[in-house]
Parts: sequence; structure tokens; C-alpha cells
Amino acid sequence: MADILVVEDDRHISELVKRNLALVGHTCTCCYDGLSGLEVLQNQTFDLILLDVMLPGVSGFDFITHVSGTPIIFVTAKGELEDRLQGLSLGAEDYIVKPFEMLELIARINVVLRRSERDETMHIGNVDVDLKKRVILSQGKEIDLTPQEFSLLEVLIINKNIALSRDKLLELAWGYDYMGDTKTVDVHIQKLRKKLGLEKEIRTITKLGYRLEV
Amino acid sequence: MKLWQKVYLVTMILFVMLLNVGIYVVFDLTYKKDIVAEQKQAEAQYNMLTSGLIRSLETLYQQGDVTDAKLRLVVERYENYYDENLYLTLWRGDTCVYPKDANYSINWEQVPGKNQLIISGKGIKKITIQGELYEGNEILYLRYEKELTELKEVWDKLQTKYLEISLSFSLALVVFLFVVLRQAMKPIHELTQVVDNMADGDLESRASEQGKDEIAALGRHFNQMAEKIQENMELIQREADVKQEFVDNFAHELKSPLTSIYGFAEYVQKANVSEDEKIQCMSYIMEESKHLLQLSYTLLDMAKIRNEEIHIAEIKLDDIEEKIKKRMNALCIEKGVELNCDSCVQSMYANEVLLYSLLCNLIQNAIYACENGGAVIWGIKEENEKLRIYVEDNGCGMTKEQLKRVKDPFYRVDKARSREEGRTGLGLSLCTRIVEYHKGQLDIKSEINKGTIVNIMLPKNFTI
Repeated sequence: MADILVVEDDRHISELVKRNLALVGHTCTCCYDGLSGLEVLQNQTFDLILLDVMLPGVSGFDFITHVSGTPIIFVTAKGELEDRLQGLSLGAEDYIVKPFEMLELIARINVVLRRSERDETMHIGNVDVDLKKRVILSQGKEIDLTPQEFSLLEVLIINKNIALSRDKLLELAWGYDYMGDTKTVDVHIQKLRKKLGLEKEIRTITKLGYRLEV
Repeated sequence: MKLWQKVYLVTMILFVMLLNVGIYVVFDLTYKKDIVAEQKQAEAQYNMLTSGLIRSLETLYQQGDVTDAKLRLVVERYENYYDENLYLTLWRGDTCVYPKDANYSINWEQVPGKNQLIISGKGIKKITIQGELYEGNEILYLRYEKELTELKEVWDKLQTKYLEISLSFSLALVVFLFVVLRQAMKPIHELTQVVDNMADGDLESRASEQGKDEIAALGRHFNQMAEKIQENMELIQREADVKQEFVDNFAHELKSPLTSIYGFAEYVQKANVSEDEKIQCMSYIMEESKHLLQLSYTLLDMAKIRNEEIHIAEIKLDDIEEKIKKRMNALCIEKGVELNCDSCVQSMYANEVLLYSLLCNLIQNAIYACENGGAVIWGIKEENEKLRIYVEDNGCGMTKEQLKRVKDPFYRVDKARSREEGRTGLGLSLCTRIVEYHKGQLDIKSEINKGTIVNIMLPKNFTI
């Protein structure tokens, strides 16, 4: 979906981010210090840069001043307000403090990518989903979904390949203040599977929830 | 009321009072003296006048036929001759003869003495002398009255002058005293200002030390106190900063491994991962956990130095050398580094555990700094009544910048590599603590690409 440059000196965290983003379809290039990051940027363009602040050589705050046109999200352990303010005032799109949750990282990345306008059509099983136009085509025929079913599908697509608990799905697709039962999620998942023929793709993960596998 | 205001008021009241009382006393004395002089003058004049009058009257009586008109003529002549402020009254027996139509009556029986002198009058003083003038066929009485108009005029003038002087002096004092007191109180005022400033947190504030009076001395002492306070505050602040920095770094140091551990666990839980990938993720989690464990061990070591009573004993250095050799053997082989010991000292007093920990940390650092084929030499030597522990390598060395920060907790010269090797970045902090505990000094010299030498100077006969 998007090409992302990860500049992070901790190799494990770098690897973690790369794997997580690969799940939802992003491709990552990893650099372990500021200088090599800037070198890579000269030959290649990216849709987004994930940037640590405390980097050997060129710090994240210095790094950002050399970049123009590419949205940047800081991913750092420095969580104080002044650091956040400095990061954001330097032109970063967002500021994520370690330790972070996978879903949070993906959600924030998606917000930034959406902001920089990319329209995509997803192919899942036998259906094509256009998230922007909210249209679903199955072999050329449009399929009607209720708004609730569509938002559930949207959440699954955005977080594809990641198992989501029923509670998380309720929170993301219905909203924080929805007081419904987790059974509601099961019912809607059944409907989605039936209407779109995604019995295989939307997998039930025991003791956890559901995962859209693409 | 402020002190200067009190002093001002009291001084002013006292001065004005004293000034006025003084002037009044002087004036009063002078006035009395003037009155006495006038009195004498009046008496002299009276005597002269009466002797003249008596002579004239004798002549008149000898000529016989003394009428009131004749008497009046004689007295009038005398009255006009002398003074315009002079008034004479003449009685012939009980009848008033002069002035003409005045009918002053007086009971001469009651007038005591011969010539009675009275001073009377409030505004213009009047000297009256009255008594028997002539005793022939009949008794003549005379009243001599003199108004002291001149004296009155002079004293009126003097009174105005006195008021002017008193007022102008008082006014001058009011202004002068105000200025002087304000000037005198100014240092106190300034000192108060400085104290206020300090209370508000401005520790740079200092009192003026000019002058030799008590206030200047107070200012000097105050400044000394302020200096001390500032020094102590700065010391406390520095220590607090160091601690805060440690805590900040520590939090960061915890966050990185925790992010990895949580992240990979979440990944394994939620993603559709293959068995191989799962094993790899788990190994990441284990590595990071191990790192955290190492960190906690080092921190515990540091806490131990602070909290526990440390046992000092004589240590055989051969034993230590043997232990270190065993411990470092694997690492030396892995890195291809040669480790040698060159000691002159056989034994020393120290805490064995701490000394071992110190040497291990320094030697480990030295080995990590070396490339394949490098060499590390360490040893303990006696120099100038002191013990010198040294660890020398011919590895990569450090830049000046790095050398400056190398003792900071969690600072790593090569962050990525150090982390991979599972080191905490606390080694030198721990070493510094240990050396400080043994009342020694740790000194690092380094040249980039040539190597590093760590020197530790310890007192020879160390006791707690």
C-alpha cells in the first residue's frame, strides 16, 4: 500500500515495526542512523517516514529539517510535552511514544496516509472494495451493505492480517460509547461473510477474535 | 511606623521644643533686665523731677497765695519738659488738681511707704511712682506715670523676629533631618530589598558593601551568607539534575526493551505467523528480557554500594587474576583479543566483590573496544605511596566529545553495538561509584584509533 522509511537505531524495534507494517501491506525500508536515512532519501521517495528522535549521528529533530514533502511521524521514547511540541512544531504529522500498540501505530499511519490523499481499491477474495467511495463490487455487481457492516469491514481491512478482539472491534467499528454485547460483533461478522463470500478470509481466532487474512 | 519615621518625629519634637524654650528663656531674661533698667531710669527721672518740682513749689509757697491754677501751671511745665510718655497727676489734699478736669480720687491713707513703685499694664507696661510730694501748709501728693512705649515697640519687633527665627529653624530642621535620615536609612532599605529579592528566589541579589558603618558590615555578612546559600542551592540543584537525568535516562532505557517485548508478543498473538517466525520473535523477546535483567543486576550493584556495609579485607591479587582470566576467557577467544596481567603488588586492602566487579567492567570495556588481534593489559602498581590500577587497550579509542560523556549513566560510545552485546551503559557509572567508595580517582585517557588507558589511583592503606 505505502512505502515507508523507518529510521530507528534499535534493531529489534525497527524489525518489529517492519513486520507489523508488512501485515497491513506496507513495505518498509529500515535505517539504523540518521545519516544513512538521509542517504537513502536521496535516491528514493517514500510515502511516510517513521523517525526516532535519539539517533546516533543526526538526531531526529535535525533529520526532519532536511526532509521536505514527505510526511513524518516521530516514534520515540521521549514522551514529555516539550518534546512532543518540538517534534510537532518542526513539522511532524504525528508523535507516537514508546511503548506503543501495534493497532495504534497502524491507525496513526493510516490517518497520515489518508491525509496525503491516496485512493486505493482492495481486492479481497472475490470482491473489490473501494474504501473512499464506499463501493463494494463482486464480479462487477454492487453489493449492498448496511453502514454498520461497512464500517466493520473497513476496520478489518485497515487492520488486515492482525487479529482483533471482539471488544476492539466494537470500539473501532461501533465507537467507544457503544454499550452493545460482543455477540453483536459475531452477528455482523456472519453477515459480512455471507454477503461477500469471505468465509475463508475472515478467520475466527480462538480465544481472541477475528482476523481478515489477505 | 517605620524606624526612620520614629526617629524623625522624636528628634523633631525635641528640637523644636528645646529651641523654643531656649529662645523664650533668653528673651525673658533680657526682658526682665530691660524692665529693671527702665525702672531705674524712671526712678532717676522721678527724683530729678520731684526735686525740681519741690523747689518750684517752695518758691510758690513763699510768694503765698497758692491757687490751683498756679500749681497746675508748674506741674504742666514739668510734664511737658520731660517726656511725651510721662503723665503727672497732682493732688492737693484729697482733691485732684492736675490734670484739670480729671477727678481721680485716691485714698492716700492706704498707700504705704513714701514713694511707691508699681509696674502694671499688659500690652504697654506702665511704671507708676506715687507718694507725698510736699508738706507745708497742706500736703501735696504726686503720681508719676510713665508708659514704656519704646520698650513695647522694641519687644514687639523682637517677638516677630523670634517667631521668624523659630519657624525658619524648625523648617530647616524638618527638611534637613528628613534628608539626613532618609540618607542614613537608605542602606537598610536597600538591604531589605535584597532580602526580599532573595526570599522571592533571586539568589543572585547582593547587598551594597560600601562604607564602614554597621549597616555596611551587616551587608557584608549578609552577602557572605547569601554566597553560601547560593553555593549550596547550586550544589543541590546540580545533584538533583544528575539524579533527574539518571531517572530520565533510566526510563528511556526501560522503554526500548519493553517496547520490543510487548510488540513482539503482540505480533505473535495477533498475526498469522509461521513457526520459524514465532521462534525468532520469541528469541527477540528473550534477548530483551535478558537485557532488562542485566540492567537490574547492575542497578542492584550500584544500590548495594550505597546501602550496604561493605567489608574491607586483604585480597590476594593472584586469586583475583585467576578469576578474571577464567571469566574473560570466552570473550577473549570470541573477540580474538589477548589479555595480560602485569602487577607488582601482591595484595591490597579493598572489598573483594567490588574490586572484582570494577576490574571486570573495565576489562570488558577494553576487550569490546579492540578489534580482532588487539591486546589488553591490566595491572596494579605502587606509585608515590598510592596504588595505581590500570587497564590499557589498543582498540578504537574515543573522541574528546565521547570521552567527556563516557562516565554518564547509560551513555554508550557505540550504541547499536553495545546494545547487541547486551551491555547496559552503566558499567563506568558503577566503576566510578566503586572507586569513589574506596576514596580513589578514576581517570580515562584515550586517543582515537590508538587505544584507551584507564587509571585508578587508590590510597595505599585504605580503611573506612
